[in-house]
Amino acid sequence: MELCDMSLFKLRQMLDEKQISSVELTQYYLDRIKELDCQVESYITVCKEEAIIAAQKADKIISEGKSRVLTGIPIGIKDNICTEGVLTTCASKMLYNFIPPYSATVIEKLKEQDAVILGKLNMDEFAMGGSTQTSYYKKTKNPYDLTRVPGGSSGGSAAAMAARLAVITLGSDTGGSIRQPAAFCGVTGMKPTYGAVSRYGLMAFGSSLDQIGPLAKSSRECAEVLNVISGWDVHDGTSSRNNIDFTSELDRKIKGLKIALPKEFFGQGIDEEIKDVVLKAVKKYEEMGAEIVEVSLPTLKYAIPTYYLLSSAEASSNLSRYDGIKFGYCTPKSKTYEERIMRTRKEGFGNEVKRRIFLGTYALSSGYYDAYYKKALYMREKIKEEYARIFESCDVMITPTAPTTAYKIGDTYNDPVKMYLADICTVTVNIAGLPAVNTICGYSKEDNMPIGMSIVGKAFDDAKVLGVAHAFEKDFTIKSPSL
Amino acid sequence: MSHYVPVIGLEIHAQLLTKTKIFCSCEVDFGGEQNTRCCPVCIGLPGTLPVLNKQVVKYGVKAALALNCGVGQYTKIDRKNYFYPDLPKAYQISQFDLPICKAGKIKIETDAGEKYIRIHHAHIEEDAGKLIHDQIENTSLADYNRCGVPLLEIVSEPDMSSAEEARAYIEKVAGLLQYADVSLCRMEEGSLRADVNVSLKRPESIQLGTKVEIKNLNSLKAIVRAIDYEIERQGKILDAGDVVVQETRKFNDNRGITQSMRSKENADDYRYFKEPDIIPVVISDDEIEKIKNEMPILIDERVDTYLNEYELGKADVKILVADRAISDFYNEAVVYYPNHKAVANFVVVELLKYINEGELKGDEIPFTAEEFATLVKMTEEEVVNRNNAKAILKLMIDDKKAPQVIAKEQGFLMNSDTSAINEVVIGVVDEFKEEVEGYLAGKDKLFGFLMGQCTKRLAGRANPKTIKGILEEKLNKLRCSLK
Amino acid sequence: MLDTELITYLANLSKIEIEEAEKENLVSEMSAIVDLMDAINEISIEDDINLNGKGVDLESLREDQIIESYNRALLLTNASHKKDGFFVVPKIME
Repeated sequence: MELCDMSLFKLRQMLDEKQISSVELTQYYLDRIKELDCQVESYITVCKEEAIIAAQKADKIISEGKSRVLTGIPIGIKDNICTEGVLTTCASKMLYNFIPPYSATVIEKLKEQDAVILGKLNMDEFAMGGSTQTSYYKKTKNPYDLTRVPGGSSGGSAAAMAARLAVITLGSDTGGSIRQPAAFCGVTGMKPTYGAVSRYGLMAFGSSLDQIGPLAKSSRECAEVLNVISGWDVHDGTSSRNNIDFTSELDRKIKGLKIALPKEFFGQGIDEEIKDVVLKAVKKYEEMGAEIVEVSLPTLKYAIPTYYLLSSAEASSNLSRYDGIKFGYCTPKSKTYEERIMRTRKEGFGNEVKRRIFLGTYALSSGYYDAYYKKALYMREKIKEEYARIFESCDVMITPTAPTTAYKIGDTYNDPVKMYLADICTVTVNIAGLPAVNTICGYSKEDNMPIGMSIVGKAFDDAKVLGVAHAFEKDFTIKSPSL
Repeated sequence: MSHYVPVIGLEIHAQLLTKTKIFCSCEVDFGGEQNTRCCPVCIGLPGTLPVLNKQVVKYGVKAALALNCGVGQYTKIDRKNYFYPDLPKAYQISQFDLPICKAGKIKIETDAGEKYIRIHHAHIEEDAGKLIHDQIENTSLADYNRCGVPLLEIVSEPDMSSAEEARAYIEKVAGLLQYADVSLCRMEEGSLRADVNVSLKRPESIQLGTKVEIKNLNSLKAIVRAIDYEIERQGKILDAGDVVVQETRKFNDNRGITQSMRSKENADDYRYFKEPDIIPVVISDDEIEKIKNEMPILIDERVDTYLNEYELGKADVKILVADRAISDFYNEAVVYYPNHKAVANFVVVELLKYINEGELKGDEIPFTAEEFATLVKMTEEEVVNRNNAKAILKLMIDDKKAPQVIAKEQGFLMNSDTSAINEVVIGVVDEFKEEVEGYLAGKDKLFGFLMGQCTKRLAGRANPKTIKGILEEKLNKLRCSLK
Repeated sequence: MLDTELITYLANLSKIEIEEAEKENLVSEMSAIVDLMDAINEISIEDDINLNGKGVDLESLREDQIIESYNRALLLTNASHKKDGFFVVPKIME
């Protein structure tokens, strides 16, 4: 087995048994990035020197016998998570020179374990998109087929995982931004319950929806990473005081498990092959002793407007701070304050970001609030109610993660409406604040592209969701991309 | 002019007395150099989150209780969106529809009599930074130290109809907040600012006239002058048959007039929405009860005690309670010397002279209440005379010594040794034989002259009563011997 | 209905300069998006449910304890225009 295909656990063992040093492992990954990332284009910034220094320190810790789960493990970070002293761009021109003077809480937690940060990963600009093609810097490719998108917005995180350019990566998920690229790139990706992981240091998009989560080769690895990065944080008033042990249900039995299958997720608009593959996986659970319950989520038809109104409204406000004064890009062509700010924002933001800001501003502006934003708030409560009702009698829910497999670069991302509709399978989970994990359940016959399914649970049932995914992964063989 | 009724409403901004800012742990401190009381939250760096200060909410509850307002037991934080360079996030975190203080009313008193002024609500919010004009470079310089300083904004109903009432209302609100220990409410130090709304209507009309807002008034004098000016200005416009323009004006202190501020475009479409980073706060009945019990005695209770128990004059009571610090000082002093009237008189006549002249601040009196009480006691018991007591007070401020020490050092102590007085009296009687004879012959007025001579020689070191007794005795003896 | 006037208003409100030439195109793009959002118009808010979520207890809020502020130079590093420890902006007229 190649080093890059080894699991976190195998690497942990090798590091602790001194079969390899963290410096060697880190150098190995840096070399892989150098060799392969010119094709995949997943990294915006590679921290060569910092990574080696961190690895040296990790080796010292390991030699003292004080290693922990992630000590010395090379990790890639989505470029909307602040890393002190390391360029953090949000894939926007607006932050082309932004060096945060502080680190996100998740980064502090990784550093506390002496994990090694390899670099910062590409994404859709400000996490707005599902293709990683709206990045100001580069267009990340899907390692399974370089002519296809990796999904998004955490496309860099997913592509880097698929191409084995990091042992673990972190992404963020506002409406499917971890799960959908994980599905497109054939890896496992988890969006934890809202509030499980601190958002401090995550550049805000839709604050009431955003969550940081891991992408990895398996649910088991995701669980381990989540145990490190989760927990209440004094810097995030929305972080939860519930302590979750994400690994606690990895060995859970499937027998007797009630799995909800919402019919709306298997209807029109979803590729037939994806339905088939997901239903086959559901069948497997049935064979393992699960009970399948068909349920209905009628509010799904309002999911897209609800999600886009909530997230864009919050984004329009969250992105107001980018004015060229305190940080980031500042237009060279301005005389007055008004000119500086309007031109900076014109030149610094890409088109998709502007569209979302306009939509959000519209939804909140006087005369339109009640018609749009307030109704979206109302629908959020209705969607929550429907999920709550389903989880009264069911343990988890299974849905496809995306209506299609990864599409060709250039196809969709130019048509915003088509892009937005493609989020249908993932957004309700964010609206309701629930945990969901994408795991791979098959590959398309014709072009061998990965197909993902999402396992969704009720709030704070993260461990159960991971356990259910793990039960499937144990007997599933991943086909690696050939690069 | 008299054919219009002024309709006046006030928005008072009182700075809350917390140690840290409302949304981060930076110290609230105005002494620091520009941008040295700041952190990533204060300057709105990407990824930062506001975390609500518990004490701010508690002060909000106290203020509600002090202002006779209901407590918002489910209180929500909102964002008010607008761009201005003193507002780093381009939104102010404030409260919109579920404020901490609900409606209430307070009683004011003016020469026109008593009146109730309704409070619409009061809410908590963050202050903005400061802009300084750079004359040389023709730029504005932003200092964000004040960003995030907690404010309580108290919004009145338009229930006032004169500048006098507005002044009485502000003084009342300031007094109540001072007494509740939530704000210093010192306009001269910037811990209290007000915006004033003025409109005029005809007495018979129920419809209000066009409202003009005068922003950022920071002294009572300015408020009174601005209101009076505005009433006159609007009256003239209406008299001429013109219409008053709805606008925001500022008060030019030098010229004593209000001036139109360049209206900011779209300035009033603030797109308020729930601050997604802060969860609404629930305040239980038990918590309110607990806070109520922690509250110091409020102003109305003090007035009651002073008038009915201590039997002080109405005018003195008004002066004593006007400044919380002075009232506290008085309360402490009467513990040491329970001659309520004498202490009150000394505070009102002697101590306040220094405060009114700006030499002293109410909360920075350089001697203890016990020392002050001692001085009053010494005066009342005629250990020192009143004139010397005044001198002692001055020295207590300047030299910071105890009154007994000063009296002794300065030789102000009254001579209780009657033999010394006797000697002086004999001397005077010997020296002014003519006057003594005149007095004994029936010129009663000459007693005053003799008395004066004795006092002069004793230089304030003897009790006048004692002198008088001895002098009378001596003269009586002479009269007898003549007979 | 979305038109160039509304787009201009939104651009001013969100402080993003747009050029005359872009406006038509932006109107059609945004109209398509708003049409998608309009699905939500058919719902009517009937029940009086709380739209702001469950609250937290007063006691769970942050304690009023001072933590030392940041180094000023560090906070200013990312500013494009700075002077004497200030952030510099074009002159603001009151």
